[in-house]
Amino acid sequence: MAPPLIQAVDLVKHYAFGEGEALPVLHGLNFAIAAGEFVAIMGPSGSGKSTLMNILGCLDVPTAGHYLLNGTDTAELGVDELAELRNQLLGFVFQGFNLLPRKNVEENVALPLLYAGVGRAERQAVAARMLERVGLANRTKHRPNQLSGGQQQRVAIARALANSPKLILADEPTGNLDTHTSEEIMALFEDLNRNQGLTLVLVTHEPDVARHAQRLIHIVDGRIAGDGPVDEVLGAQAA
Amino acid sequence: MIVRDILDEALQAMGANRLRTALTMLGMIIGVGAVVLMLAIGQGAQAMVSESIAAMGSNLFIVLSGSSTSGGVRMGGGTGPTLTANDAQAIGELPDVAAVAPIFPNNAQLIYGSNNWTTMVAGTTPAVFEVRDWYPVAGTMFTEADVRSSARVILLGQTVARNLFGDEDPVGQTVRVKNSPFLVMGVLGPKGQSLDGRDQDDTALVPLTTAQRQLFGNPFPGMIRFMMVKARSREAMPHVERDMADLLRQRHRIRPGQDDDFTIRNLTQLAQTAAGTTRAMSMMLGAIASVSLLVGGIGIMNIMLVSVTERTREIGIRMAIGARRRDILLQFLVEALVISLAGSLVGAALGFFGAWLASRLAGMPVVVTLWSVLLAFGVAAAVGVFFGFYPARKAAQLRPIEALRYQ
Ligand SMILES: Nc1ncnc2c1ncn2[C@@H]1O[C@H](COP(=O)(O)OP(=O)(O)OP(=O)(O)O)[C@@H](O)[C@H]1O
Ligand SMILES: [Mg+2]
Repeated sequence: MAPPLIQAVDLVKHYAFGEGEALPVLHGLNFAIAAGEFVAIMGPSGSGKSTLMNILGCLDVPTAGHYLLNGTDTAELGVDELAELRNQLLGFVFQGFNLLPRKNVEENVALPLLYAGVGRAERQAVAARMLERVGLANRTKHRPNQLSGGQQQRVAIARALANSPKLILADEPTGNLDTHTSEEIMALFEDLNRNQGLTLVLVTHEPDVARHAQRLIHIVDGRIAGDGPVDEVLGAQAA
Repeated sequence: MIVRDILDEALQAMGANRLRTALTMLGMIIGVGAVVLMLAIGQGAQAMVSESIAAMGSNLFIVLSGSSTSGGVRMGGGTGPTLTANDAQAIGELPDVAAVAPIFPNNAQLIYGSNNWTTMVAGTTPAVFEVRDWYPVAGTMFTEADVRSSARVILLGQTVARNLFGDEDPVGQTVRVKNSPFLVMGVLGPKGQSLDGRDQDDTALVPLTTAQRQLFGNPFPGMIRFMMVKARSREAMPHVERDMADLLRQRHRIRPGQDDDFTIRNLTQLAQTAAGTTRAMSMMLGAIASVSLLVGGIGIMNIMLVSVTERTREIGIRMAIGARRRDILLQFLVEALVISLAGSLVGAALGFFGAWLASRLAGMPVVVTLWSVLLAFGVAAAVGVFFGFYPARKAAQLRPIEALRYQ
């Protein structure tokens, strides 16, 4: 059997602060996510969701325990190998979009391809295709600040898709958007998951957003409080 | 990432803050401009000195009447007339002395037609041609026979010939010196400026006896003002100097313990000293200019550090989507390099322009060599890499998560 795409083994994260003191945030998480799954993560503010996402995205390293991505223990990889993983295997979508303000839409989308060593012409072609995919084919030369929040998030999604990753990590991607725009973005994610087999892990505070996923992991105080089909976990929460 | 992409990134970043980029470049422009200009001036001065040295003639002494120190009091050389033409002849018989030219100079007005020109007319012997390595380019030299007969013949320096005759051929014409007619035998070749900036071509030569007896009425017959002595070789100069001193003390009956009544100067040594001084001066100019280059480099480093801090979040985003450390390092390093090279290009152009102005307007001798241009660019590139490296490394070593969270 193929290894799960994501596997967390006794994942622990402490933040150091002051003199030798440490704030424990994640207390030994264990879970696995298979390729093709669409997982939502919910939990109260400060429960460690973003901390977990950063580790899953190889932006941060766990204090203890192991994180296996695509069967490889990330602890064994150097910084440049991690950078390559982020470039090739992962796509990020952030709550604050995180586009580069000086670059136009097309250049923003093409940036991961630049670091993958793809030539100029092909970068442009891919960027155009991705922008078409998210419905922004007519905005390629705009600057990010000339777009609405929903459009900016679409650009960010197009950028995340540029290198054809296996996994998209989205930390509150609809946090800054109104309900209607959120629905559009979620429809896009659902489509990517259904029709392209992309694995999606998404943090949200909105049960309505979470309902687009198949599985929900509920985190409270750095521990998994529930893990299963969305409706079951939501029901358990309500009870 | 290919070179062109890195360059594009650098140019985009530089374009985002044009004023700041321009000001940072200004530091490099001034630095490189100063280095190029100072090197041009320094090398120009050196070239002029070595030209003067070559024009002066080699292995030369000058022997002046009067002591340089007399009873502890410094006196100007050539004050009391103590040297004679016979002294000169005696020195000429010393071993390793190639030639001796006694000189008896004075200022006089030369008249040709309606033109007149006041210059230094030097009475001397034909030995002067060999001693000073200075021969007529038109006409002939005067001879020992002319000296014996006090002939009224004259050789003109280039400046004198030009001012009296213009385009006319002076050879065979007659000029009046102190109301006596003199036959122009020839025109001397050009010598240019001396080390102390005098125009060596502004002079005329006549036979020694003619000057002594007819032109300047010498109160002490046979006296000369000074003599120029050429040694056979550079190596012979120290012992020729000793021999001359011994001989002159003996001839002038100076008792041991008494001061010399003459002064011997080693012109070749003086010239070497002058060359050394010029070299030191030009190196100092370069060094001072390099300081401004250094300041320019520090300006680059300063701005790059600010830029890295300002763009921490951007760096975080780039890392999140797959930039490796070397991608970030190169991005900032190339930015620093582009600023320093573009600055040095403009600076070098301004330096050339300044050098051109200095030579055109101030008449300064300047020499611009390929070497000095390459040096300026090499240093600028080194400055860019050296001062750009630290900020670039700082950027590259940021941790992705911290860079992303930076506000
Ligand atoms: N860099 C850090 N240094 C120290 N403590 C941190 C750091 N980042 C997060 N924390 C702490 O870790 C805990 C979890 O933070 P995290 O951002 O993961 O929460 P979250 O679940 O994403 O919350 P929210 O829903 O508000 O985004 C919080 O108590 C926070 O104060
Ligand atoms: Mg969060």
